[in-house]
Amino acid sequence: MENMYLVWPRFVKVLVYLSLVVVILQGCEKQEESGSVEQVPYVAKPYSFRNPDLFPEMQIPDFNPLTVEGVELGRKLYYDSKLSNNGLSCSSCHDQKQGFTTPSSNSLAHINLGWNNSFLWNGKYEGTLEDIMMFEVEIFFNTNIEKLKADPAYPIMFYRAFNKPDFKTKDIAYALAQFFRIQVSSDSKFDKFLRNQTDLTASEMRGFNIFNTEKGDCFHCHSIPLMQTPGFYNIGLDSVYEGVAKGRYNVTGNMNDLGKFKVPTLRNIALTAPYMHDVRFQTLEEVVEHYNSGVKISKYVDPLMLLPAKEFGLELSVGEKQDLVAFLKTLTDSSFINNPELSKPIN
Amino acid sequence: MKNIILFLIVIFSLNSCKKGENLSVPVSVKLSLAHVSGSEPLQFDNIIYTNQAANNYSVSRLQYFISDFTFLGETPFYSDEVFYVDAANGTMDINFLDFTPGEYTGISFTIGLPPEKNISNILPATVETTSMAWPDQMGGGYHFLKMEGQFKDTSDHAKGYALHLGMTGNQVNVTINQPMVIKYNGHAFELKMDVNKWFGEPNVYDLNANPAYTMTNHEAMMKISANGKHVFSLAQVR
Repeated sequence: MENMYLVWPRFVKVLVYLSLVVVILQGCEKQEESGSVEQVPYVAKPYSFRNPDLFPEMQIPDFNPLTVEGVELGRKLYYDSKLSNNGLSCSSCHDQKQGFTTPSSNSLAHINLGWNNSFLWNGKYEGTLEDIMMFEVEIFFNTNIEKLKADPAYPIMFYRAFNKPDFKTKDIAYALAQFFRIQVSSDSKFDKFLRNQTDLTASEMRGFNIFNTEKGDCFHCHSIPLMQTPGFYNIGLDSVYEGVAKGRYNVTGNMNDLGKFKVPTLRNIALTAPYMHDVRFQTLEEVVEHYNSGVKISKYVDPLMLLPAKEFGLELSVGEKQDLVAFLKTLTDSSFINNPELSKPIN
Repeated sequence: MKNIILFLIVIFSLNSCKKGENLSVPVSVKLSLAHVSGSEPLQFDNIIYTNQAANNYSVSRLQYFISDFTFLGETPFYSDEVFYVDAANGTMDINFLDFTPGEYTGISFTIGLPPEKNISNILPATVETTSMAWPDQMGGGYHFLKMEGQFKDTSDHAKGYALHLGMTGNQVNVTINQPMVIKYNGHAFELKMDVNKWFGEPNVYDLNANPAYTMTNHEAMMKISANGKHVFSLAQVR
């Protein structure tokens, strides 16, 4: 069969070629007209996250995977006072050297929150880190997004993290959530002991045995390795409940939740004084003494605080209390508080 | 003519395969775990229950492992999966896939873990499994059961109790004999735990006369474990 193309007049072929060229050029022009080079999709690099030995698998949502660019953006935002309208940044109340909290606040430490699904002392926000970050950005900081957009560094960082140079508050929250997920403490002396890489001193070992048996019974709420458990507990800090002391009740309205609070992690606890939701205890010795003799009984106190033979508390000796504190100090993780990847970025 | 006969054969074959009656096709079965006190859904924290030892008591926490399910019969169906249950989350549904249709005579399972799985850190680490760890200083492995709450002592004062089961040998092996015919997708059964029965049979467990904290008391755990054989009932709901 005769090739129809070959019999086209020359001028028709020329027209076809020219038309193709015009179409191609039109496409290029449209790309240029739509904006800068940043409109070319950017592929963020996956962040290499290693789940620590013995730890539960961290649940990282598909809708906000960890990327190098996302984590770096989250870190910059964490330390940037532009996030707020009062000169504060996240780091203002969460200092790395102090286990990502500060003595002047009752803020829960930003340690291993990637394994939590309830946030704040009374668990007011439940869900993912993205959920709590939305609260922090939209409500707590009430971030003025225009201030961030006026910083020339951010559009390109949001482009690289999320392909969104014209970013929204949700993108700020997602970046922060990524940084929070890498705030992981898993290399304390106690972790090394669990991995058979070091020994505890005799006092620390005695303290561990108090912590991890019925003598101290700490393990039921502060389980290894997270040194916390999900849920809310009334540990007898009060017997009369008013205001903030009502705890989880202020969220649920359930009388049985009076005085219940989230269990904080004990990791780096030697660094994160003062203690409890209302910072009433200044030292670990005071905390231990609460469990030893200071529990205030009410019908709302957790059953574990009311066990027969513990009506008068743990009844630890002076030496045993010192041993328990010595053990708690083994949860300090110097690599965590000195990790440059978690520190304020240089620029 | 040949075509007509072939057509009729095809038609009859299709008619004989009525929906749900192909007994060679695996089906899924749902088992729902529910928790009650007597006939009422379990409520938490208030001292509103009376157990078979006449203790007035509450339940604040009920968490356990359940595992090693076998649907009994000529061709048993077995699952080696371990399930963590927190009664505070309401009814928990378990879906068994690849279930061979047929007649079954009952169900057996373990409250807790079989010996080969009751080893520290052997279960996949999750927030739930790590919170169920049984300290190595106390024998290691996992809690099989945590049932906690308050009870009124002989002076009518509220005291706490913590019925914790652990240590290999104290897992509760349960068998419930009940004929079941499983034919198609969608069969559903309810396994209902009556919390009162942890205190009743064969050992009347009076919290005023027995250890309210069982982790350190092997005899107490044996009593609770024996009672555990009777806490569940099985009903077919679909």
